[in-house]
Amino acid sequence: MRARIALAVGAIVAAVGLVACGTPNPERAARQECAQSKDACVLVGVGRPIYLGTLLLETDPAGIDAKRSAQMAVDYLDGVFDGVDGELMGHSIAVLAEDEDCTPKGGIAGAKRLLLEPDLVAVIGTTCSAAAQDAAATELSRRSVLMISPSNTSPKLTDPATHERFYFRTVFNDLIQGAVVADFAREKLGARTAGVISVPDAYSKVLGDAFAKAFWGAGGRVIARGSMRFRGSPDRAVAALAANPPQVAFLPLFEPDCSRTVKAIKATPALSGTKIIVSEACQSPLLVRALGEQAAGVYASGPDASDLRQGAFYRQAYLPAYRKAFGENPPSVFHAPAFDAVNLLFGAIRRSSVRLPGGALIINRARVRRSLLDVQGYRGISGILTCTSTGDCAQSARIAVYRAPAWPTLQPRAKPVFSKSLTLAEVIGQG
Amino acid sequence: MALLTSLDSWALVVLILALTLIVSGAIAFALSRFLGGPEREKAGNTAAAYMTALGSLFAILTGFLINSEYSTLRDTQRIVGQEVSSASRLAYASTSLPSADGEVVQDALAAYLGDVRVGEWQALAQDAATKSPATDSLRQLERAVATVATRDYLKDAEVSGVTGAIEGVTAARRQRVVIAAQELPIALFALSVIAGVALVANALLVAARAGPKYGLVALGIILVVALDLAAILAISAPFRGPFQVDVAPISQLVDELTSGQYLDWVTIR
Repeated sequence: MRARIALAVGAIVAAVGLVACGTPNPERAARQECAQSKDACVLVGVGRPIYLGTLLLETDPAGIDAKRSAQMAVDYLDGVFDGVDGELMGHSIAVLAEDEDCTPKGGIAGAKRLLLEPDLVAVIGTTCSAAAQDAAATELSRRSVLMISPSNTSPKLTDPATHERFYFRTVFNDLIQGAVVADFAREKLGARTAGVISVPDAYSKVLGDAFAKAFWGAGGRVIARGSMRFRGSPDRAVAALAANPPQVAFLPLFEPDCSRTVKAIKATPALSGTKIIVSEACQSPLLVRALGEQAAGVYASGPDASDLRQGAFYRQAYLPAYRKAFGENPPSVFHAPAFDAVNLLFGAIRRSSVRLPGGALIINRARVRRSLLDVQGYRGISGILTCTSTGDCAQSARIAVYRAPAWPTLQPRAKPVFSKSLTLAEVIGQG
Repeated sequence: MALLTSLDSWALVVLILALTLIVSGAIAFALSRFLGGPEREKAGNTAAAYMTALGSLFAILTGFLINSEYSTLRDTQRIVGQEVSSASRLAYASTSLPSADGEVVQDALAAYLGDVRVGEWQALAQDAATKSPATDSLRQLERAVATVATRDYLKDAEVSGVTGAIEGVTAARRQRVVIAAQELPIALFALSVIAGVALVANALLVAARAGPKYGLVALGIILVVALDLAAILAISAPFRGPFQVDVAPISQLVDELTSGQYLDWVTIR
């Protein structure tokens, strides 16, 4: 009899135990995952903010634009562009801003400064690929901090061989820009020869290479390559082009290198017949201001702004709010990918965080990254985004070429002289 | 009454059973004290004649109450189902909005439903709907939807999709609040208690005449009366006590919303 009673009691205890173990407890599971490493999670206490970093080139229109757009995304968390920040899952957003100086050194230093905040969840940046490649992206990935760039276009950053695990970007890959600019030079300008002046960094040189490869592929010849130091003198590079004048010169540079190089080319009689194309990083009012009348006729590549204008939300809500908040049109083309980057990040945090009773949050950094990988066909203001494990979220892009002064950063309704949409798969396939 | 209907099932059964037994004991004591042999015989005969009538009266009264309270419980569950369905429609409708707007609406919806899951039942149990955290979050959800609905860039169909669904959510919540404010009809319950006590007294009289062996029959009636009354109390408050409206459908929807299942651009692995 006693044995039966003991058996019955044992069975009941086992059943209760099984039920208890079988019941999923997200909080317990989250805490177990977080215990695996000190960088695995961020615990956001009640009343505490969620820390978000920006690591941008704050002296450049691209960086200024991205920073403003990040602010607007935080503002829009409550569904209204009213200048009052919204909340994410009951927590305010604290934005820590650092400058990256457009150099690897600056990227590393900025990332390290941001990492002084142990509860940093993610970073929006960098502006320059150079500040990310082997720099900020590496530093942040090492600490499992997600980094989403709105303007790094270097193919190297999302090359499977060199990609950092926690690195993503919402802007197009320069393989697309290089291919479209090459097509423009060949098809529209009828150029058979081209020259490239670049800076030996992750953005400039790699975009120059992508253009050169695509130009060769389209039947043209790259007959001159010039290299210059970042923020250095363009004279030697321009002389290299003048020695063998090409029909088209492609300048994937940043300001002030862009305007200095354009000036130097314009001042070189041997290059008087050379048409100049600058990349999207130069497509800013700064260049036109610096060049004055000389800017007329300079071509600039970049995302097709008419695509942006087709979006009703962008046209009727975002853009008026931007103008109201900052008193001017966006000074670059990177505000759209920046807005999308922050919204994708917020969505990933929403989907991956565990809310504790009382309102505290457990944000698992690896889960936030995995949530980004679940994004497929997000209708952002910059286009349709699908994030892959190599970090590219913009799988296709419509790149346009504009002729100064009709640049969208100067004239919002500027019409491109050439526009082409390509997917990453297409350009990689062509390569 | 609120205290009684808040008890869990075991406590309620034990308490009502104990009360019924105490009352029955008191009646049995009074009968043995004040009714002598011949009187007991006469009273027993009379009581036997009324057994059917009293039993029927008690059964009708409690049957009516159980039916009415159970219907209320079932209706409340149905209203929760409607609320979940409207919330689900709102979530689906929000996917046709621009992504940033859709997420704002879904975020507010998840916050509201999360607050319903966590604090609404307790607030409704105390008839203090305004103290529920869901009151504020519903206001924020309404505001979010109303703000989005005023946008010029939305098509009429998109606006009517979200506004129609939010109306459903608000209406369902209002119905829940109204039901939570309803009380068990005290007069009817009191009548049932009186009928039960009369039935027990009658059964004890019959048992007293027929002898101690028939006491078991009386005990059976006492138990039935106690359990019947306990059942009425147990099901009479949809948001407290042992038989509550199930919050699981809301819980499930919150989990679906927070995991991104209502965002058409999220692939659920």
